[in-house]
Amino acid sequence: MSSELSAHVRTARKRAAFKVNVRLLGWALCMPLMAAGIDALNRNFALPLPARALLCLAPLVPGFVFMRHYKRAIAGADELRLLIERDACVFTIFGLVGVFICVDLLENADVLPGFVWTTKTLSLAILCLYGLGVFFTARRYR
Amino acid sequence: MINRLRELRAVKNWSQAELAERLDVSRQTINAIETEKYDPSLPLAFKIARLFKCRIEDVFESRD
Repeated sequence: MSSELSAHVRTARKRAAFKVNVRLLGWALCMPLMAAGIDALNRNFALPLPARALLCLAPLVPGFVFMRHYKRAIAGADELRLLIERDACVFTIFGLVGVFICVDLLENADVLPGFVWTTKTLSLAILCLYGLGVFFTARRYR
Repeated sequence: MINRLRELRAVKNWSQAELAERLDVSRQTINAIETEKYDPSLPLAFKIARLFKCRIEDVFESRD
């Protein structure tokens, strides 16, 4: 009876964690999708300046909601998970400095001629480094 | 830090998942503590000691 209950609790917890992850992913996907839509709107319609400015600031709304969910998910996370997240952030920061230096060198060596960092490449680099950071750190504690 | 968590858990005949549930942490946390890859925070160490009805020093010991 107790093991049945405990299995039930475990399943419920897993389901709750899955829901949080899906919600976080949803918010994370919402921002670039919104950005693409707003960009298309601004390109195709001659909207007045204040409207364009408001539209351009709109992706901040899901950004803040994402942050709120993320903060709640982090607050409810267990301490090993927090350690993994922290290590992943450190990995991202120092990794990014390394990537900047390497890309600069590659550009100077004509391997990547005319490479320019854009919002998209930078966001992608940050997300990839963060993912790698989580993967490597989580592997250490497996 | 050296710990006797695996030993204490075995006495109670609990699985890592069961212990994790009682301490409200993930199974990975228990595994990392048992394999001494990770030292728990002081609140968690107190929680573990309280759960096994012993002192922190009875569960955790410094390497030196």
